[in-house]
Amino acid sequence: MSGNRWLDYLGGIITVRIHGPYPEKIINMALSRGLFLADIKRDGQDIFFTMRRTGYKPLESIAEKCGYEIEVVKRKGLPFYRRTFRQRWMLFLGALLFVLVLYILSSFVWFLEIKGANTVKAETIARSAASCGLKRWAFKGSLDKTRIEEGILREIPELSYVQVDIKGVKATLKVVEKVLPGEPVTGPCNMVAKRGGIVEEVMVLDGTAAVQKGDTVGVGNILISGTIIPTGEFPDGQVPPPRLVKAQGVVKARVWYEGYGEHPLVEEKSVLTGNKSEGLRLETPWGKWDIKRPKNAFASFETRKTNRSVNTPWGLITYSRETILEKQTHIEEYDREVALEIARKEALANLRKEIKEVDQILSTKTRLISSAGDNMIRIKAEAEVIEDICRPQPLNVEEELP
Amino acid sequence: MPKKPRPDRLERLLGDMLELPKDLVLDLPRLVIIGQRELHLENHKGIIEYGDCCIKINLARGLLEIEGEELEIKLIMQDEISITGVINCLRFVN
Repeated sequence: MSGNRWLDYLGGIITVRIHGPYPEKIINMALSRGLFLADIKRDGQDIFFTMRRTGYKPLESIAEKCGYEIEVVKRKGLPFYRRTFRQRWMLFLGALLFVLVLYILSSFVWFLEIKGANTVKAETIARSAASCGLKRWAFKGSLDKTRIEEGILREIPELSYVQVDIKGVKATLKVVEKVLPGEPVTGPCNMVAKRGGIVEEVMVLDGTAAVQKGDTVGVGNILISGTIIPTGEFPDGQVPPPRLVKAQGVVKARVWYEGYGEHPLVEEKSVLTGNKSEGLRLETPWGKWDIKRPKNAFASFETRKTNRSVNTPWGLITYSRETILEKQTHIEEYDREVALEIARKEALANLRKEIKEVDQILSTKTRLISSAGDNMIRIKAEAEVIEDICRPQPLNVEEELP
Repeated sequence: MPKKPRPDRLERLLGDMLELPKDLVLDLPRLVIIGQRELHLENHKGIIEYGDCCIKINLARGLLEIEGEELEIKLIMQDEISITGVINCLRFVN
């Protein structure tokens, strides 16, 4: 007997009974032959012990020589199941085949998931991964994660990080896209208005001011010009050509923003009662079966469907669940003041979304725009702000300097 | 004090000087007892007597008597033996 129970079980273990006077002699003789014994118990003139099946023959010869009675009382282990194996060999072969097929099928990639793709299309990433070897039905043993990650990063420059993770039969591609800053304008440019308004302040750092305080400007109007026309007296009457610069400066203007909100005085709401009926359907390439049909006895209802599809080598198999939920219509009436308040809050919230970076908010007001007989309360929120409305616009050098 | 036999003295001296384990050099048994329930003995020379209350084990020099209750030999190999049960007394007999 060794310390390894599994090995002993594979070899077969027997429990032996030895009958005779002074059984210690048998134990010592067995030890001297290299036979290991375990669980030795004494019962009068009998001793019982367990040993390996292969040690029985030498022990039997020792017992015969010494005149002891020997008997095998129990058998345990794999060799004693030979008859069972012979009679039910198909069962064991089937089990072995099952394990083998499972192992082979789990050596391929069955599912590919892409996470983190926002601007870059998932199909593009999948195509790039396929060109590097990672695709459905790819053999897992032939995939080199580092090579795939480097290959995808090389082919798609918009990505900054790619991680390939294969767990079981599912491969997950985690990507992180690059966040590129806005391209700064280099070279000559004008400063134009990004919003319309009334100019409040003009501060020119480089270039020529094209507007002054009090001017009304529209979107796209030049506020600071990047073309500097030389002025003054010149020798020989020769006027030097205009100079093109990158216009810089701040032009603050009074700008108006609007937000809108509304709320009905009488509202029809659909509320689910909680009653429902479910239907199950299985669609395979060989046919469609309704496992369970939903019972629709509701006067008013809504339907929700969930699908689960699996792509197999034989085609698409879809398992869909259709749930019919009963609903009831409730009519809710709102107090005029309550509806006004809700609409006002919605209008102000929408207004806040419009106003991003402003220097100063001069005033905010709300105005009711719906009439007295209307079923809907409509509110407009307006804000008057002061903000820098400059935006660089590159200059076309050939057009400006003939 | 009576003098010890020469080979034993020489071996003991060599073992001490070279810091070698005594059970190897002097062929002594090594016992490991876990509580009162388990005993492992290395370097034995066979079993002299085996009973429920008493087990006598042959050593290189003398024998070891183990007295207790419900004593069983859990495992026995050529030079190792494992005994379980309630061990009350251990006696070395020269």
